[in-house]
Amino acid sequence: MRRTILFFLTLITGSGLTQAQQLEDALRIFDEANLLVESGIYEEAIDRYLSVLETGYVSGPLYHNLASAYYRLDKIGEAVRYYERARRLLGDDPQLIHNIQIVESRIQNPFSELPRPFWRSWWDQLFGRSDTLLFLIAGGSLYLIACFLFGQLLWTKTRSNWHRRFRIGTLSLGMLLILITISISAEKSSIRGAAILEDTILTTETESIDIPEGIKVTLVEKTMEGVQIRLPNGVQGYVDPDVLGDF
Amino acid sequence: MRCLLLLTGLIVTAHYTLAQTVTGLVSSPTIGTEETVAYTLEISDADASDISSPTPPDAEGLILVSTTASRASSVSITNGRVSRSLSFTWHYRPEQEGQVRIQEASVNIGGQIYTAPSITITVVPQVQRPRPQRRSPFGAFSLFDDPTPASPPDVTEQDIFIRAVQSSQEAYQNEQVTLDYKLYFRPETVPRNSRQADSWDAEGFWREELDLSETPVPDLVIENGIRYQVVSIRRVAVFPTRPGELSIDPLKIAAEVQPPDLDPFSSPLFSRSYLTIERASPTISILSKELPDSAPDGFTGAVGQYSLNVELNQTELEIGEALQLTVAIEGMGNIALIEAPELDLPGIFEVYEPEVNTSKIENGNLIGGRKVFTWLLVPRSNGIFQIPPIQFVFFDPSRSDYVVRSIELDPVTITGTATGPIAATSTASGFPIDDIAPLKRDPRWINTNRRALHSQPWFYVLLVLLPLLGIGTTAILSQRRTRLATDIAWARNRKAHPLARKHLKYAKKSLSKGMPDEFYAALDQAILGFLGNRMNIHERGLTRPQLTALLADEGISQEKQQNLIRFLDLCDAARFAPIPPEKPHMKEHFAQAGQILSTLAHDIESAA
Repeated sequence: MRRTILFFLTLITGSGLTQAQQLEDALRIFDEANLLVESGIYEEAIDRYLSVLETGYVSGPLYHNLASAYYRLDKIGEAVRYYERARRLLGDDPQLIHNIQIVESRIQNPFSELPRPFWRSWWDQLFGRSDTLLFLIAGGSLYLIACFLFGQLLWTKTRSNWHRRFRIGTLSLGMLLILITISISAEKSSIRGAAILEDTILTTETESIDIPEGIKVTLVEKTMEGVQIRLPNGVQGYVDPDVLGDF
Repeated sequence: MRCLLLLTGLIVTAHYTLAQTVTGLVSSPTIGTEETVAYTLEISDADASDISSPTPPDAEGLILVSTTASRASSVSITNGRVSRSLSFTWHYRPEQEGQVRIQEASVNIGGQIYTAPSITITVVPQVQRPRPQRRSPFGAFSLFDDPTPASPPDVTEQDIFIRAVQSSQEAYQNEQVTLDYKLYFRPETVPRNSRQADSWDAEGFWREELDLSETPVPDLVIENGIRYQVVSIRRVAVFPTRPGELSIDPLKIAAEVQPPDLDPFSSPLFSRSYLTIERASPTISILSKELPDSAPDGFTGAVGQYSLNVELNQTELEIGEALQLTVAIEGMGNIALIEAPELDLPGIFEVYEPEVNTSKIENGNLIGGRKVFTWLLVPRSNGIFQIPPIQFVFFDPSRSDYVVRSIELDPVTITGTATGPIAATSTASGFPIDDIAPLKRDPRWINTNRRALHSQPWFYVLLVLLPLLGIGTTAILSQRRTRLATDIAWARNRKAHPLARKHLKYAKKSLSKGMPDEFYAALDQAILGFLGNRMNIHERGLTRPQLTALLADEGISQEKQQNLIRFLDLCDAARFAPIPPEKPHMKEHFAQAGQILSTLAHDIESAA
């Protein structure tokens, strides 16, 4: 037993040390890349930022700075892509929003934008930046309490109205919070859309539409014909997958 | 027009610069039924000894007056070049009215046969011919003039006319067609005060005037046996602006000309009358072809042959400095209509309207030139920016295809930061108005190697386990509650330790407050209560022997029994003693009670 505990302790400690070392390396490369950007060596800076991403560590500021480096190289599509990734982590950070506005001002967007569904706006406002762990703890606790109350009902035959209300209330709220947790988690790990990395042509059944670099589109599905996307105005068609930078 | 004015008062001088040639000439293209026409076979630049006497050419509708030719020779020196000519003249009389023809004439020169082409002559009734104005050899002395009024001399279309020479009958839209309007006039007909008589239009064409020589030298040509002098009076490059069959108005001129003088005694030294005549060129028709549909992107209608040159005046500069982008298009074609190539510049550049400089050139009959577009670009943000390739697309009629000229540029590096008043360059948040905000420093890492919560198996296992845990725990708690209510011995045993701790805690509190009675009573209760609960007996009223017997049953040793009894006695004695023990002693007794309880708990559990 002691040996097992010791083994696991060593494993945990070793894993922690490795993680700490990785974080230290990531931070060092991040700082180096920032210096390169400030020195105007943008391509090398981008390589450094991307090497950090390969380690599995990301951060809103990393995406933000990577997008800024791409912007300095006039790669508007890539800049949009990484600013949008940064937005997922930083939310409505004023600095980020300012940069997104600057980049968008340089895109010749010929497409009108369909209004967002009301539920989508509500969802983003309520849970856009929520932490899944918080919802998991709250939902799990209420769910557990509800289970206790049901156990009590089972073993002690408690039949009071208050007990019933409390039992149903905690179960409902707990289940709801757990569902929200799953939704937030799924939403955060899903691909929301993509930025057009270079001027391209969208092929629909009836026409071909020029799409300028930097336009944000929604990914619909991948097929043999290419990737089906939806433009901001709702038009759907196919483009070459190489021109899409998902975010 | 300028050329027409230049013709004013021009005394035309023929230049006989022909090589060894044989030419057939007639005295007049039109004769009356009672007139004769002289046919002259002129041989230039040939050695007289090599020339065999020619025979008179056959004629249709004409009768040869004499088979013997009158022979004449002449020598002229022009620009140091000596020209000799030998001519043989025969006279013909018309047989009929209408078109008659003198057939080809041949002559043997040094064993080689030279031929002069046939000539068509128009024979009209004699009344239609003007009477020749006979002039006295003494000119101004009118006494010797023929008193019979003479018919005014006529200047026919054959004496002076305009011919329009076009470079092509058909052309692509915007392709150049050169029109050369040539004035043909007989050497005897000296035009002056020439001017354009009517407006001239070329609807459906863009036109560019081509230069004419300021000192035109007429060419000498022979048309249908008549010697003419030819000068270009207008040269125009026209570019069809739309497809289809397009026509160009005739060019009309008015001029004063001397009629051909039939008087053998007349001389240029004597004044002669001038007639005002009008002549017009034929209408020109050009088929304008539509350009092929396969025009590449960026084609704005340029047709011709062009080269492209693009320059940036610098590739490294600071924010706010001006960058000059120069695009030069040079070649043959309608340079005036060439539009500036479309620029797809990075948005960080403030772009001003281009300065355009156009210069035209003429290469023979072709018009072209150079058009230079100069843009000023002012960067508003730092970075390295690649200006997309500058592209110029035109249609090359010689290839009947579109040509794309494209030039790539080096990236432009912009350094520095925007300067100026903060209020003017910053947003309310302090970010630059026309540039992105600085970098962020604090990374706040997230490990993306971890799978998302919803895709973790343990999450769903937990959701299943939680109800089991809850219901199981409730079941255990329920069982425990039931046992606590039914099994008194078990319930007392469970309470033994907590109660003992409670009493000891109270004892400690009493010790600190200096209440010895309560202190020793609490110690007594702690020990006796613990024993009573663990052994499920009523501890109140237990005598010392009963207690000793019970402890012995539990397997407590004799010595420990005695220690316990002694300590309980000590507590009783201390509680009722007139002088309570001192505090150090009480602390010692407290520690002793704790030790006894610990020993008892251990021994009883071991025995159980």
